[in-house]
Amino acid sequence: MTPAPSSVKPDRILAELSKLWTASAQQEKGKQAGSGTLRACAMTLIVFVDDEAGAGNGSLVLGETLIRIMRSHPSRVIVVRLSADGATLESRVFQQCWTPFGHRQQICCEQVELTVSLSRLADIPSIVGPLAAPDVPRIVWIRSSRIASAPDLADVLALGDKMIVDSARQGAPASADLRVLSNAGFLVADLAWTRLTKLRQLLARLLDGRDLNAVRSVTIEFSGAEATAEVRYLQAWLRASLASAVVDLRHVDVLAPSMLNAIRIDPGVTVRVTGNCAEYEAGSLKQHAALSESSESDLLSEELNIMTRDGVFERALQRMTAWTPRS
Amino acid sequence: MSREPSLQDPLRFNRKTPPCTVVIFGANGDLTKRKLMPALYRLAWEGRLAPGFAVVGISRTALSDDQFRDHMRESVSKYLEDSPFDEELWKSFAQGLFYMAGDVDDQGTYQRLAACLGEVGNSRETGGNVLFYLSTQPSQYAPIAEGIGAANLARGEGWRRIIIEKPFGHDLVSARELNGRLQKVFDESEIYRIDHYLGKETVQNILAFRFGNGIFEPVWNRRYIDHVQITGAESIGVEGRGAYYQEAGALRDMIQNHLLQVMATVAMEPSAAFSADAVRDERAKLLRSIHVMRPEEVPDNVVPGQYGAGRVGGETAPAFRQEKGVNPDSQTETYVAATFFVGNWRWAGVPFYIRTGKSLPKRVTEIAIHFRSAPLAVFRNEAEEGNGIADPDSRETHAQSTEAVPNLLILRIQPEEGISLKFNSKRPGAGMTLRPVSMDFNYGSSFGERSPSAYETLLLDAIVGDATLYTRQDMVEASWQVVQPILDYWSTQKFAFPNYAAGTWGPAAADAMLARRGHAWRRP
Repeated sequence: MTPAPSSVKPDRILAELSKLWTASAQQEKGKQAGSGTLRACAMTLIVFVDDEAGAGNGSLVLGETLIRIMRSHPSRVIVVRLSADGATLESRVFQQCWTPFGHRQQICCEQVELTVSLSRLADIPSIVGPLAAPDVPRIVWIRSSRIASAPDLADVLALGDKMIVDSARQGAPASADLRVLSNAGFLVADLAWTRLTKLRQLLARLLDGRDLNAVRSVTIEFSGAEATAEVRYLQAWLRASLASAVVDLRHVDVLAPSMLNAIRIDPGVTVRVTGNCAEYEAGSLKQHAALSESSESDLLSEELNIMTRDGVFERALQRMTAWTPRS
Repeated sequence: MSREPSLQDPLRFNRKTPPCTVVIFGANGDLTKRKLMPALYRLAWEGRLAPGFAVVGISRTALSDDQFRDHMRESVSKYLEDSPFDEELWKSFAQGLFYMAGDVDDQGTYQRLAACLGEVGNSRETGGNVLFYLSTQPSQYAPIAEGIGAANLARGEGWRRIIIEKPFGHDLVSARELNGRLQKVFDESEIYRIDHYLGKETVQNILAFRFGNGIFEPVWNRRYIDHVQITGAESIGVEGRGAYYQEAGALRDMIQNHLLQVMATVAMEPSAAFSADAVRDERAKLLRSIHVMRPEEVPDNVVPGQYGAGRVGGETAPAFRQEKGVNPDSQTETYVAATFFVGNWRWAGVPFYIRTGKSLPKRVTEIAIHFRSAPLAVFRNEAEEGNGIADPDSRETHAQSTEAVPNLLILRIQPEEGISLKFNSKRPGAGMTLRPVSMDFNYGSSFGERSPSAYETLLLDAIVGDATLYTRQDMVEASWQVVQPILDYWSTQKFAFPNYAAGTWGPAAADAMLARRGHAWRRP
């Protein structure tokens, strides 16, 4: 392993963080009691992002997501920007601060950014490991397509207690990769699965109290060129949950982007999905339910709330990889 | 091994709620408009209500179902907090709203309600489950319960529950009488007495804080805790509720229910399980352990106050006696400071100071646990002996170093929910000078998630049959037993009111009450 250049020694980065807090405290001197700065950290979130995707507009989107996440899950965030070439290894530290409405006290979280070329990926564990906050969970969020095929991936993943990916993103680790990691004992999560929570909860409510062994078949209708990761997760979940039912996918020709259109459960329940709303018929009831769109930070936040093995997801993951999509 | 088919996902899904009809008596009232309906809509928005959920509103005003829906739509869109108003969802939610005009004193109302519940139950597939919510004058609680009983509505195909709001009686005798009449119709397990303070996240968090952590319980007793201060302060006056408030007063309005329940939560023994009865048993035991004052003990341990004119938040505030609906010679207390003692091994000799009042400088509810000082003031002695640990030339440094402030744990309920621990730390630099610092946990910043309103929590609990956060009759009676001697003694006295100016922290006698034991009120 190449020794890390002095500019990114963990001790130096930690000293820089410490200086930030001292500077904050100096600025607060003499201010009204009850104001000041609250240093908040409940976990370490390690984010891998492709350097070019994290630049320009992409950087703004990522920044907004991280700010939201820090508010719901105060974290020490370590963003690792992966560049394709060169031997780059750079770092910078800063604080993300905000003052909640009506409050005097400012809340601050720490952010460390490392820019690393793919060829230096092997150095990452020795730098990021010491930077993680002690005694709190460490989560690795893979937002990079570049890292998915990296040979040192396992070492990088071992940095975290849980790994989060979004298989709906181009170049993300596929569900088959996730199954391998899950079977190897890693806690894994897929935001494509997380997007289904509201819809799955609605289905569970509609079938609550019914004899699930009596469900004969479920048809999931989707549009677009091929079934999305969400559609396939839904099918896998229903297959794992309703052992006696035949769960099929059906492609429908509608002028809509690739999406989930309807779920028809025999007997007696139909759910049509239109945008952020679900219209359902169950028995004599015909109603609407809100399926408000979840932002990336909402999805991430849901996963950050779960730091144990997720049996329901893991069963769906096993069933999903056993299925071959139709051409 | 084959698994039973299930679509449940307990890690991610909200608690399962059974279908039911909520019958609201007083459906045109303020509570329904401002609190109940927005809470129910929010629960629907979150997908927490069963698909067949329904509401039947009852009040005297003649309204059609559609007119009632329109009124409720207006209220929900006006009073909904932290949530978007979704037109499509409202249409769906409104399909489950029904209305029935009726006089609660007329038995015919209950007969018609029976027919209505049958129809709604069939069309909405509620399984016959009914939750009666009495959002009416307290004087109507017993007659409504009796009307429900006479029409055989207290029993049926599904479960039946009834929610009532405080006050539960205006003294011990009336509380017992109300309970007797309610229990002729409903079993105690079906009666849900709402105390919205117990529905607040941070009050529930007291239980998590005490019993979910191993480090606090060992010091949670008379050996380490010097005294406890519980403050429920409001910056506003009676604001149009003068007529009601004049009959109630601060002791009945805040201490008999909310603050004694908060005290019970702070001081109760750990329950064997987090079940409704186990937790409530412990709360009730604590309330029964509070020393009931003899008449001669009241003047030294309870201070009543009434606000005069003053300045609050830079504005002129009128005296209580100048408020609309208030008798110009009113003897009603708008402030109470009381000292209670708990007669058990854990708390013997530890004063619990409780104060509440209107027109105080700020709105704040908090519990301050004052720990005993360190047994030996080592820094003070060394400094005084001039051994060089503190700077002997600096009087200021001496003052700071020798005042090792006792540790203080603050549990803030509102407005900024959180927990702070104050402890002493060495100031940087030469010399051993101490300075109190604060370690803060802020509920909002640590979780950043929206906390459900107390009514959302409590309504959902009642629907799923979880009475943990509701008050049981023995708890109500125990708290009345604590305050009844005070009321009795005060009824024989004439107070020199007003005795504090609006915008101040209460009468001087309240400060003197603590000073007698060497304590002082915290300024929140």
